[in-house]
Amino acid sequence: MLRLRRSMVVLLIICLGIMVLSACSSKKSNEPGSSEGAASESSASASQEENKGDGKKIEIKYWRHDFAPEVDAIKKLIKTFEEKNPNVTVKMEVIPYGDYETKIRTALAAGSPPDIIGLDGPTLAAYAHQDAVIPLDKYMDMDGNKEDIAAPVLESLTYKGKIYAAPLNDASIGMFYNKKLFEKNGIELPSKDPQQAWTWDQVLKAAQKINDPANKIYGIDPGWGLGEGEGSTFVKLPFIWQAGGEILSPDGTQVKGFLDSPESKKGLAFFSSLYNEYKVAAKELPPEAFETGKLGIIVNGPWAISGFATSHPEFKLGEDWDIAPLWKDAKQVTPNGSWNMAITKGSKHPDEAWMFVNWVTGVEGAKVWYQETKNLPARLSTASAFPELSEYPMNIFVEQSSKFAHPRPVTPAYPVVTSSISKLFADIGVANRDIDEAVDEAVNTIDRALQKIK
Amino acid sequence: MKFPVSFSRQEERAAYLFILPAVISLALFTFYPMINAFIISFKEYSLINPDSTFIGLTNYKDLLADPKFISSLVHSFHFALVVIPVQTIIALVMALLVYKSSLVSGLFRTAYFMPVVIAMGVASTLFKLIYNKDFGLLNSLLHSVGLPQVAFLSDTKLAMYGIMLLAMWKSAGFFMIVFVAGLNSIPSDLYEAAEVDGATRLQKFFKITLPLLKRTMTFIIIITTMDAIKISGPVFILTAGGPADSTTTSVYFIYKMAFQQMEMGYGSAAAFILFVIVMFISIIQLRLLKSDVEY
Amino acid sequence: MERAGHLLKWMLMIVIALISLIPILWMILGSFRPRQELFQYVSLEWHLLFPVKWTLQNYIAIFSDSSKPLGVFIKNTVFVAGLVTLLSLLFNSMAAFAFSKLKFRGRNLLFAVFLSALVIPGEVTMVPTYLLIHAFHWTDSYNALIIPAAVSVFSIFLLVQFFADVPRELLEAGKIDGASWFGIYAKILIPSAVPALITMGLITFLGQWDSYLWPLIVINDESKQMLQVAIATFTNLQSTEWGKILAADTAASVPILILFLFLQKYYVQSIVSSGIKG
Repeated sequence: MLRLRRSMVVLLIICLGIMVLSACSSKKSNEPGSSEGAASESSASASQEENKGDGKKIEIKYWRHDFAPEVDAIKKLIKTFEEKNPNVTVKMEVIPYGDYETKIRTALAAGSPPDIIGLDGPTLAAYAHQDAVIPLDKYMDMDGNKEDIAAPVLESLTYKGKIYAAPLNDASIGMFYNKKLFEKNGIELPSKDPQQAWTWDQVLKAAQKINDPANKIYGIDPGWGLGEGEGSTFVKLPFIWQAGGEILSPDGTQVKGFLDSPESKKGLAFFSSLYNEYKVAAKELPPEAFETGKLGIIVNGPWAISGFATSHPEFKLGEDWDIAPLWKDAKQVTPNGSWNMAITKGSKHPDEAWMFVNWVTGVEGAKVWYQETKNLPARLSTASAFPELSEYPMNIFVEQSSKFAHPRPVTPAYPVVTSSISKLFADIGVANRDIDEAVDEAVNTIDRALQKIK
Repeated sequence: MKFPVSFSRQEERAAYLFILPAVISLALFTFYPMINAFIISFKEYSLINPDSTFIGLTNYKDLLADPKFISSLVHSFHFALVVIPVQTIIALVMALLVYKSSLVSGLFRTAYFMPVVIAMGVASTLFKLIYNKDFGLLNSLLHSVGLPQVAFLSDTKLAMYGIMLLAMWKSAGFFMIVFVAGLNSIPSDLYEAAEVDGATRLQKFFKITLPLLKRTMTFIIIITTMDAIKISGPVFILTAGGPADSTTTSVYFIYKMAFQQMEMGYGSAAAFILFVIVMFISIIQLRLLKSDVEY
Repeated sequence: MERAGHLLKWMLMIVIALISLIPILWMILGSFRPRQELFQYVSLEWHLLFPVKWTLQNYIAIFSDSSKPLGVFIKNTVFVAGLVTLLSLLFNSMAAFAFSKLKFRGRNLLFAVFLSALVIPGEVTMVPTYLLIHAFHWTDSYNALIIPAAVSVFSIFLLVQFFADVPRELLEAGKIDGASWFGIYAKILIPSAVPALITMGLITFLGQWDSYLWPLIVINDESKQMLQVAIATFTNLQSTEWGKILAADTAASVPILILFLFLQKYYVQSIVSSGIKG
């Protein structure tokens, strides 16, 4: 009996010891980072009393998704910001793109979000509706120079009359084509003039001439394959808009009569025909198909220009490939909106957070941002500060976004909208489903989500 | 052998102390979150907003009428019905080929176990490239021996089999090891006695090996079933549920609901429907196999 | 007949080995290819697997990226995975010993309750668990990675399975010799189940080495991040640099492949052997 007890006690002590040790050792491993503010991070969120007053530094946490050129630009801006504001430090955390929203949302669920989050345009309404982010009107009016922000961009950041985010940049897409494949097949090159966009028919004809599946060469990838994700929705929506259709009513409350209109269905039918009737689009593409000359036409944005230059330096703009304005049908329409910065409701230092947001997205910051990332500017002052923005190829995107831009629907139900839309395009593209049937299903799903909004 | 009463009471006390750390840890980090998730399943609960409202059984009722949820269940069961028998048989065949201890068997065992060591994320990325219709290794090999292309990633009818193949490639080696352990614990004198009686190989396998593997088999089938119906790992990277939702399994559906659409209550309710189904199946399996798994 | 059977057996063994190994070999060899030749070879020839021009460029690119110090991530992961493995060897073997060898009231019920934990998908309990971790102030600390992982129902189930092969008479003999239950556990059971424990330990280590979503959620400080999270950042939205991805995947796999090769004589032998037979 006694022996048992003693040995069990010893065992339990060992267990507890290991528990405590592991706790301690991991605590310790927090410590060395304290000079960079790592240790103060957990304590800052744990106890509010320690900021202000005793001259302690205020730490602003900023989470965004990973993309090397943009992360580098932010690092530069953090450095200059901290030099200018010695009492504030900014701690950025970079999260893999695919699971960015999962991480942000879990932190929001626990009420422990960072001060500033990267916010993709169309998710804004959902975050604003759920009170996760705060309105910025007060700050915008103070020193945000909001009159300098392009009107369609500002509109896409407004929910129920209030501005909820500051734009890093805008986005637009064009028709990227393989010049060599065009010339080889005797196709007349499309114009670089944004006013002279090709029609759907011209695009289809070119794709048909290029398409040669026996030799593993494909005509067109009309919208980033058939996968999931907001990027994929972003590049596909124009088919519906160009045909004259809409996703939701202008006030964002109705889907019936819009996504199932004859115009919307016409856009979907054209998209489907590329895969199923004319078979100029492949349901599955080789890796790096466009960059390695296996694909005639794709859609992409200004970010891809520098992306191709670093990943495939031998594939040269002007020699191997070129950019034309995005195609049109009944209307010429391009998508807009991109990533922004927003301040969370949980932030204990919204004023300091705004200082940094404005440092990055304000008049001067936006210029640095453009120089570093070559993203389409959201501010008029940036657009006029760089002559290259009025020259090929950037002029195409700049002009499209001021003349033909169409914002994505603004509704708290957007997460359901985007997943239903990508499912819809996959249904009619890869699965060759009946369009009426697939549209009905999407309309019902979106309708159910719209009904739920209080 | 009979022990005195005090001895068994002492044994009982010792047992409770031995399981104490596990009970505390599971209560805290598994069952407490599970109960919370169960409560959430009766709520309209937006992931990013802590304010939520009780809505009773609405989530459960909506789910049973949601064609997407039903089809995700169908996909999970399709996966399970193929993988449970096929993977178990493959693992058993692998184990039978290499269970005897010799240098050569050891080498092959190691080779068969290597896929287990590769991370699921890495394996999924790898298979995405290997499955590519035009330039993937698999289709290159099929083509060179005159077989037709297989579009695992873009054919809605085939994609689920692509997921199955990856899952089995990665897991069969682990279950082989469990079978090897089971095979080696069968006393060799049983086989010797059977040989004296003139039994054939097949007779030995069905009369000795299989019956004595029952406990191992039960363990493997229970674990494979639980894993298979909950399958989501390979789906994330290889297909993201596509093409056209053809590989959206129940757990992937739950993840999408809870995190992409932020409907935590709805996602949790789906998880508990799945929970009940898997529990039910496991209990039936245990009854059918009538094996005392643990003793 | 006998010879044909042998031939068949050998062919089957070799085919399974090829299926198991070729994808891994393709990854490792592909990571030494320059980008231009990655998807060039599609017919059955030497270069389908082997690079034409060997290069270390992919490795130089991933290891010289100062914003993603892979060495640090590997070190972090080894530390966390190692500690979890040690803790789980102790706690899970204790529980498995009780469930497989001791008689106590409520054993079957408790075991059933334990098993039910295997049934619920982790994606659903992740948010409630995160809230708990947050309440403990463990976010951004290795506590959040280590302590919840120290006990695993799967490991307990696996060990119960293996311990069943240790005859109870062996333990009762110890009892008659006057050993305490702890003594029986530590001096008789554990030594006779070393291969089983190594197998469980390796599976636990592997599980930690693979873990992705949980560390992504609970760890904020990049210098503390785990390996798989860093590997995931190589697949970004704009371009997918396959050469780098293959190199990163290889770098993430090779250390653990070596560990397994090193320990292979333990886990691929019969699970319960040394203590009893030797």
